Amino acid sequence: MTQKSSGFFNWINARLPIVNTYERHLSKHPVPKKVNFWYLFGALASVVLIIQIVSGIWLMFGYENTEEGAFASIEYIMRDIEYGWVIRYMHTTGASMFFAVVYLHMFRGLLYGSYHKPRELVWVFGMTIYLVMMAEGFLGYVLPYGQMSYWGAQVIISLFGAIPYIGESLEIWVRGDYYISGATISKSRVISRFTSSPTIC
Amino acid sequence: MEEKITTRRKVLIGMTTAVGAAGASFAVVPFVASWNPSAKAKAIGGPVKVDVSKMQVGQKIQVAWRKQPVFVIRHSKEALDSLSRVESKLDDPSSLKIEEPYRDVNPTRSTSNEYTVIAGVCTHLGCAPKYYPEMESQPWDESWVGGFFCPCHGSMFDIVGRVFKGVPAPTNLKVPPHYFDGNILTIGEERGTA
Repeated sequence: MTQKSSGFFNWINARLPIVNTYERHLSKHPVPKKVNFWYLFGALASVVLIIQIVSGIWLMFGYENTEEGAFASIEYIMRDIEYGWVIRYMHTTGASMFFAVVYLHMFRGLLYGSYHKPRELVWVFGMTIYLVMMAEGFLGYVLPYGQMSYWGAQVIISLFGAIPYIGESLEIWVRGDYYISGATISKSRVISRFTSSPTIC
Repeated sequence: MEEKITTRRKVLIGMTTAVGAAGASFAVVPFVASWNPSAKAKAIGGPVKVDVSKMQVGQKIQVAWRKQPVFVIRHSKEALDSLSRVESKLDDPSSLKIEEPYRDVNPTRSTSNEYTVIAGVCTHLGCAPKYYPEMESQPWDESWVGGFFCPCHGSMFDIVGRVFKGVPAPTNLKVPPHYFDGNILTIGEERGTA
């Protein structure tokens, strides 16, 4: 490969090996010779993840995580902020598409036995990320604090109540209240934000 | 053969990059635009209407527009006639140094020949200049013929907000966009732009 990079770029690269990393993990990463359509979905999942992170940050500019303000702030995002509706629909549709893409990615894994030795942990980590994703999806669903959010949260958080002995107190602890309230949604927002970070790995 | 593959690969990478860059520039539009003032902010920052008919001659009122004070002053005919007397003290009597929306329309600097509409923000450091309409000797100027005095750093302006020579304020007080509809003054937009 011909190197036409400048002195400054070489200086940076010698200290922060961007090119090597890029080549090792992306441009020169070995792929199966018969790589096909099914291998697209891993990359697509990372595209959707980036869309979710960026649109999520932008939604937080307008969102208010209080019991009184949550629903009104969603209306504000949808009606008053320029292109706010585009960004919110990007985020909600993106969440659904994230699952679609991830299911296809998992199907590829099953189809080609990508979980076989020595890649057992890849599958296990993948499943962990999948669980975190479901939690994120749920938390995001709670944030608008509308009817569907409220009763959805009611049902899902009640699942904790089914655990013997500690269930009921766990339920109250998760909600931070005796019913779904501002204390619940403020947690939801923060957690849905920082759980997005481990998903990146 | 090897050469051909490399060229083909370069073309493909180039095309992919071009399509990606075009897509990214479209995708960036809503994210950039959403930082503009929202419809709510625009409504709050919209034009303000004032009925100026109840103002007395020589009176100054203060109107809030976009959280900034705007001074409206109703001048007597004598006061306007005496504007030329103060011109020798002024730094920029025709407002050539600033963007003057209604230059040479009226001596009041506004679209009315009786009222002045100026931003009540000193062009030095943003204090609110005080209105001293009396034609009498003042501690800061013995030959004072009425005008604005900024208590922060002593900047002086005449009754239509034009700055004096040798004061800290660099330019005349700004004239906000406005129009009169009979007695109703609208501050914040030009006539016919709404």
